[in-house]
Amino acid sequence: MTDDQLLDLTLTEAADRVARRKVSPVELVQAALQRTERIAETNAFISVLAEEALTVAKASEAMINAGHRLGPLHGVPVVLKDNIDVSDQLTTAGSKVLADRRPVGDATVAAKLRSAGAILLGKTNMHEFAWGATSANPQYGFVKNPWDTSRMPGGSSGGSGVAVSARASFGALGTDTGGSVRLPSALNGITGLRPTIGRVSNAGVVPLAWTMDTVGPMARTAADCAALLDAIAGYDPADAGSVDRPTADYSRNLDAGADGLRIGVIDGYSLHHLQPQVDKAVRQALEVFTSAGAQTLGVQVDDLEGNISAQLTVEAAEPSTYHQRWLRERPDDYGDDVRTLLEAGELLPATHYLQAQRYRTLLRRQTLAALEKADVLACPTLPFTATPLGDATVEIELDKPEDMLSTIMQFTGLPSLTGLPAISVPCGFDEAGLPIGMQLIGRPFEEGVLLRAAAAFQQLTDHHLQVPDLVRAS
Amino acid sequence: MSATEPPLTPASVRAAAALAGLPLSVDRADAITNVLNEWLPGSHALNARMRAAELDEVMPVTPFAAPQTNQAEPADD
Repeated sequence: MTDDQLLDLTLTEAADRVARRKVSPVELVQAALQRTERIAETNAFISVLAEEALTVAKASEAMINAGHRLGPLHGVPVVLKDNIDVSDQLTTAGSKVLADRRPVGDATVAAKLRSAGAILLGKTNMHEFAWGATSANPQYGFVKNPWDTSRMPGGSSGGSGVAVSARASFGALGTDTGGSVRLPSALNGITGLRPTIGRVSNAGVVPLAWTMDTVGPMARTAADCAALLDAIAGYDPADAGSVDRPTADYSRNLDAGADGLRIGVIDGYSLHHLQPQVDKAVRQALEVFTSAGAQTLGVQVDDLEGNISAQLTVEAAEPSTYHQRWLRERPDDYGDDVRTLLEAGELLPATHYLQAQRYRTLLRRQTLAALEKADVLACPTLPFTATPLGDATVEIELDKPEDMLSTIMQFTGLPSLTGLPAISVPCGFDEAGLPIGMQLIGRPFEEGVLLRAAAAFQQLTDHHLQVPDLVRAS
Repeated sequence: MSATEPPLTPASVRAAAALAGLPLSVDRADAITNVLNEWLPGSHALNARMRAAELDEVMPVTPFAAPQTNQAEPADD
């Protein structure tokens, strides 16, 4: 197989071929490393672990040839967002503040990936300290969207989204507070899952907002996300927010289809205030589901109006608390945008923070009531497609610029505030060829329902199979 | 800001920073003022909603870390 053919394999296909000794882990790593060089202009990586990855790949190859398979991801290269600790490797959280930081141990999720046999290929670029949604990083370069390098890839896990979309990695881990797995998944044309809060350990991950943070898988297909979730999910006593509850076999029954699935569309919200091409793509996606036997129905969530304010308040107050020391000792080491957000967050009254936290209880009640009538809720992942690099505003309606940070959270905030799982699935492209994502939101710990719905959609569509021109250009 | 509340000014932001114990140079106040004036109208509206009497029993979402089972019990004196 050529390098392009190797890298076009999905994560599960690559793992299967390694297991059957049809493909060597060394071939996969070498091809992926060459691709990282080819897409260097995207600034997707903060560090590429070339030497270590090749060493591990050779050991992985020897093991599989000797009949030993570490786990389901044996020999498959994956990448991690740079706020996830990897032992003795630079882990900067995308900031000059931590530019020389080398953790003494792996984050729980990194250790679990290694135990499953995955090979850690690199650390991906991100919005500084994950506090932003464009991955416009002043220290390590603005991350660029492989579908159009003059545009942003979303964030904060932008580098992870680009690496997967550009086939420099078979899968990735990102972190998601207000949408940071799902937004770059949508804007880069890949699949990304925010698990239920507490389902995946945050131990060894540089925090953004403690009450909303979670690690999540990013990959080309729902099946690949399921394989990654199988590897990383589970209780971890090292994380005080981890939930002690058995995990499911997320890769099971992914071919169950969508027949009988009840898809809730929130009145006045799910299809409201969208760029027209996003509106069209999501409506078409709902038609695909209904053609496969799913049912769509209108549902109510009354108090959604406060969701942007609640997110901004919680996402401002909690990071500003975490960063108090560095903000006083090394303020000039922050990028200007993140420094401003952190300083502003210190000035919010405690009562505003707690009213936002009370609102989350209210919103969760109302959303769970809607999820008694529907199995999943559907909406776009975000209301627009990728904007030009550096833009701080976006136009949903012509000549009406809106604040980027508030607008981009319009849909991803609902699961983030309520702690519910959600998946972003590629559902089309705009006229400029930029990807569009649809978000499905599920009940607590029902990641399997979301993955099966996404897999059913991907059996009927080919949006997730499209490749950015940047990758194919010689 | 609600209709009855004037926008923040750099001077009021510096006063709030002093209350928070946050050292803030004069040149930083303008940017922070802009951000807070963007955020606060929504935040005040959210507060107004959450003050409604029918929501008096709503508790905040906050994490309470459970003691880990492998933590040693404190030794008796």
